Amino acid sequence: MTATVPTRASGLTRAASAAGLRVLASAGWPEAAEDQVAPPIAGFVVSAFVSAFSPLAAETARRCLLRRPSPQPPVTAVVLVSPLGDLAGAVHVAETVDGGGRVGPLLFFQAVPNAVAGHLAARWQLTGPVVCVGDTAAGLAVTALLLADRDADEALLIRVDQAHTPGRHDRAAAVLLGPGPPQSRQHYKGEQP
Amino acid sequence: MTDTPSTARRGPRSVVVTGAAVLSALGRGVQPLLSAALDGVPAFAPVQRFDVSGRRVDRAATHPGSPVLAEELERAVGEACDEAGLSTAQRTDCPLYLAVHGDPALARASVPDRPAHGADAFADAVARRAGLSGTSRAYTSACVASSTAVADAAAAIAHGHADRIVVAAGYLVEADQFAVFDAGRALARDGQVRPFSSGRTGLLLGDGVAAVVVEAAPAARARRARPLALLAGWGRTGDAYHVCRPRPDGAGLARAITDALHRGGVGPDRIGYVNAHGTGTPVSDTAEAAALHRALGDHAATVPVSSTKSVHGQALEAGALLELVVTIAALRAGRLPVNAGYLGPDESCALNLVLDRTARTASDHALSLSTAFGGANTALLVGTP
Repeated sequence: MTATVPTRASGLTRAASAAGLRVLASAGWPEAAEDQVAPPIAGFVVSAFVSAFSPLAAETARRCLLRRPSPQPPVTAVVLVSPLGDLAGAVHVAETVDGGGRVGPLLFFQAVPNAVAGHLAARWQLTGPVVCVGDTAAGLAVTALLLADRDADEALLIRVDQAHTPGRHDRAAAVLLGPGPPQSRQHYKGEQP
Repeated sequence: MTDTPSTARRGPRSVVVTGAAVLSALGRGVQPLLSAALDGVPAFAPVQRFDVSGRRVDRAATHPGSPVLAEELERAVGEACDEAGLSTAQRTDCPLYLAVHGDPALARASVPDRPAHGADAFADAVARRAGLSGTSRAYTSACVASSTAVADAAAAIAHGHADRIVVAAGYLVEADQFAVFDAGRALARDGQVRPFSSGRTGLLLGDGVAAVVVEAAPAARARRARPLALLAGWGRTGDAYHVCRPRPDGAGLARAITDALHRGGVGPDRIGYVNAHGTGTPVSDTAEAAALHRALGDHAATVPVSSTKSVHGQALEAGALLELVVTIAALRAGRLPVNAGYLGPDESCALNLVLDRTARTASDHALSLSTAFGGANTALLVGTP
């Protein structure tokens, strides 16, 4: 593994291009000083009290999809990359369990990254495969094969990194990917967080 | 077995499984798990591993004691590679695709230590300990994590990106996930999993650690390995319907089944058994039955179906791989796992459920289905080699 973590859109764009994929649109969080708290998602536990993981993914994906340069194709995959998953949510559940408490019922589905991927898929009608992996290189390799085998026409790849130490900021990036020209496609072994 | 079964939406090489290993509540190894599945004997009992006194439900299917996930994964990978007959050098060249919820230590790690407990780092560590190459990746897609890993491994091997990939998965019942499933009222109140049955009340969690060696048929043949099964086809799709509920019409899962059949070059009439996702949850089972009818047409009413979760429980990220191993073992045995816990028919699940312990099959293909939160669906098609 290299030391570079492409949590900014530019880093994710470079990594996707190096993997032979065509970057159709990109977005990041934060993109401006106003990006302090991602908008909450209806039906999810209020993020400020538990975790911003899902709102971060949803808002970054929304920005990316709104920048799509062409009409949406029939099948778009959702690939979510997060080494630590919903860290804040997991810590909240562990602390509640260790304290003998009862966790909130909505955490039932929020405990897995698929939940927000499913929210995005339903919101934007993304009917391709839903895949969650732990590192960017894996996400790009999965995407390349899904596109090569026509399991999807495009893929929305989102990376979410929650701050794991006090005073640090949550970050996320998203890229909308299509197949690159045939000569540029390769088995990706490059940049990896 | 041909090396070019179908080039439609897949690479040209045939893909086989040459080794498999498993730990479940039934014990270590495939045989005790298969025996319980064929006899329809559930493994659910009160949880002893952690305190469940504050929970609505107190049952799960657990292996005795408190097995350690990393150690069990290392053992399963080693056993699967042993069965495949892989040398130390051949193992060194193998990537690992690992399906897990994450590093079990993450949520209670000290703040400075948390970055070292990512799912990717956990997969790397398991690969190194098991003597694999370390070019690993982690899948965290809930209940389709391990079937997605298998599908991705098969796709990569079919295209010639690798000759063999070890796919492993693990979930050992623990307090945190038990608490959230209990809070979500997903666990079966009556302590039994009753897939597709009237009176079903939900799922129960179960231990599962499994590993398989997925290999290119020519590579296996070159080293005179005897495949356990042909990994004939695979499909993965999304519902685009809801955060955690499946599409009621089963259209997403049906597309995954159709993709798997298409890649395998077989029609619905060739399917002799379906190991369904079958959680025992009212809405999920009904949607899955609809998917089977949509994908298999008239054959959906006659193909034998069961969910082995009724015996070994829901192993979350590891469930699909556990069930693939059971499916392969059943196909090799020519016998069908029983759909345990059955109370009576449900009109919304008009399927030919396996209820007879003596059910046999001479068919050469079977499907293993999985669905997950987020509307994720997978179908794996296996055949006799």
